[in-house]
Amino acid sequence: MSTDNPSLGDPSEDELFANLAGLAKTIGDADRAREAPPAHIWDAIASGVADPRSLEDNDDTVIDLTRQRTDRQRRSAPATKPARAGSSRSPLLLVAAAIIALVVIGGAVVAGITGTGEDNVVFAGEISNSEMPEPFDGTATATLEIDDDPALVIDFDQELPTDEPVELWLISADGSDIVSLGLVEAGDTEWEWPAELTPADYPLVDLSIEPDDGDPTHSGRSILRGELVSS
Amino acid sequence: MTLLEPNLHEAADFDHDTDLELRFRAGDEAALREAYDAHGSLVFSICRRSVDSTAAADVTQEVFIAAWKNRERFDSTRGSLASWLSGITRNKIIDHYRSTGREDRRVERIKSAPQPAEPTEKRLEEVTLRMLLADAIDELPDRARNVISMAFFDELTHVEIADRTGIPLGTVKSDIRRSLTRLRTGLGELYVD
Repeated sequence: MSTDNPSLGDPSEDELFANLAGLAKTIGDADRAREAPPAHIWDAIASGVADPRSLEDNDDTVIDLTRQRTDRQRRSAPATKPARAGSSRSPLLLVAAAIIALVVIGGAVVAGITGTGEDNVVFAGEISNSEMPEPFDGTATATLEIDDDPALVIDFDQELPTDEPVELWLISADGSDIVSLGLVEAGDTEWEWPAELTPADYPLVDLSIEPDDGDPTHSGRSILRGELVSS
Repeated sequence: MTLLEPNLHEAADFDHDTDLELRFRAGDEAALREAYDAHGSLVFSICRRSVDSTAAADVTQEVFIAAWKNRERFDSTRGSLASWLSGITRNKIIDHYRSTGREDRRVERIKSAPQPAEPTEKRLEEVTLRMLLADAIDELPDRARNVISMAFFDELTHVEIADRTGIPLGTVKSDIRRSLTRLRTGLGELYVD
């Protein structure tokens, strides 16, 4: 990584990045080569597991992952999302369902155009915790400032939760698509607006709790949501 | 919407892996076959880096039988099934060395010529880690794999990756963060800080 590359913000993540990048650079063709086992191996395994005599209790070559738990591993465990494993539920569908519910309830999300009076503010709206699955006392105002570099600016009235990562999303009006603008760091207030998106097509601003489990999809645990409305 | 489709596929892939791991641990015999189909080549290939084909076949067989017998020791929150199987493979290969007397000969050689120990086990560990990491990178969603490859191999900054790909800077950072988590899980207990 170049020396001018901004840190990810967490020393343990920076160390992990450095270690994995270093290891990755040593991967050679031999490490990528895979050789299929002979066909008879599966038959031997199937016979072996069917024959209790071939199985050894307390095999010390088998690492017991249920022990030796470390602090770091506890932090990375996706304990908060067990229901997603193997589930047919789509996080996007959860988001869409939540949107539909909000529309049915009516008017709970959109508090109106904030109208800052600045010419470059063309879309704006309040985002709140109303009808969100996760409790959060704060609210915020989102404005899309059209300038040379369109930017979504969010003014939070209080700090976001810090015990788990929070991610910012744009959701299409019908809930059929969702685009991440990235994780929200403490003090962040401005995000680049994706050039390929229009606020009319992606008017919903959403912030969600995202457990650090490697799953890039929306968790369904929104804390704030609101709609950008044309001014 | 093109940006949506990869997300749905990524979610499906993630769920599939986790589902297999859960069913394996729960004792679903179909999951044993699926695990063998998914990871048998990795296990056998690790073996072939260290032992001949006959021994590799024997060890591969022992790995899957031992894993199945002791499946309650697997915990998907601590590492991937591939990394757990690879750890068993490493240990089985070391046992194989010892049972065939190679370890004894190595010890004798070390005794007769004082020097750092022959790095048989260390080399095996490194080979296993590299093979696991290669697979883990390959299994990342397309966009994340591209982003992490640019960061790892091309040593591009987050800003340079964003500029080159057109992906928002925040998304680049998110992709890297998530990829690191996935890769770390892919190495499981074999990764030591």
